[in-house]
Amino acid sequence: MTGSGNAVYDGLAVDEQLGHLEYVVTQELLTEFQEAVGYPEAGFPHIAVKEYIEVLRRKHGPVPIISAKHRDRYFHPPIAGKRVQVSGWVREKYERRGRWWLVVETLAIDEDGREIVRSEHTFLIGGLESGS
Amino acid sequence: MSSDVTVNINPGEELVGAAKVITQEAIDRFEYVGQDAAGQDGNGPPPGNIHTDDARAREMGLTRPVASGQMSFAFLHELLARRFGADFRQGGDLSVTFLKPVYGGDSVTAHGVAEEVDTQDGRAVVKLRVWLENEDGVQTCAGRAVVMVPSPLKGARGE
Repeated sequence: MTGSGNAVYDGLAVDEQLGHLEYVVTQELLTEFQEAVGYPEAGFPHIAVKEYIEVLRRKHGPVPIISAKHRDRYFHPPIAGKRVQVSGWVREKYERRGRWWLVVETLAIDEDGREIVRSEHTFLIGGLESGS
Repeated sequence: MSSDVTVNINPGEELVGAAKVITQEAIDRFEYVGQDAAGQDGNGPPPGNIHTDDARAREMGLTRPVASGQMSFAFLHELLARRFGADFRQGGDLSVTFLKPVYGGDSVTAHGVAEEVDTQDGRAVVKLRVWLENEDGVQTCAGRAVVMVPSPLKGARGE
């Protein structure tokens, strides 16, 4: 099999731990998210933070992707004022019909150890024109 | 956070959210949330992307910027949070495949239907099919959700 043409992708290993992301869920961030999605009770700004790509970028730099699938399992809504810590891992990488796919899992917990959300994101590396 | 929603749901029950008009301004604001959070620790905000930048969108084979799949995901999250309250926010499971791009100017509506309602350890386990539909009736994303009512996590750790 030939490489994907993307050096970052080719160098990734399944189960590799990716970078670490931390951020504080400020009331301003929460309000910004609620206004962006038009739902004043929206409580999971991580949906917009895109933790799956941030943990990849923090270890390997920017990687062009197009999203294909996303799964979230929710444990507790984040609390404004608390720091959220996100860890990520490569769970799968594969080629299908000339396109190169990556599955990244992330786990977000807050500074008190409360699990916030566990996510799994599947994405295509490179553009739509790279496929057959 | 809202008060909890009492759930009495039967198979076949349909959920329909409000229509959302997706403007490029809304797309940009959604991306700002990620930039603000990621920029807090000094690693710098994410670069321009296919959601906010014409040139990057074209590089990836798109004709113009496209709304993030996560924005669509947020609308399905809202549909379920409004119906199930804390039972979804603390224990819900939502999985979605992105099928068609959503562009600025499009309008999308979240839908769901309860396909199964089982009982497990005294709790209802609701399995739903969910999807987002644009103004032409085309599904732009689709997936499944599972919600336990009441959630075993609700009330845990003092909540």
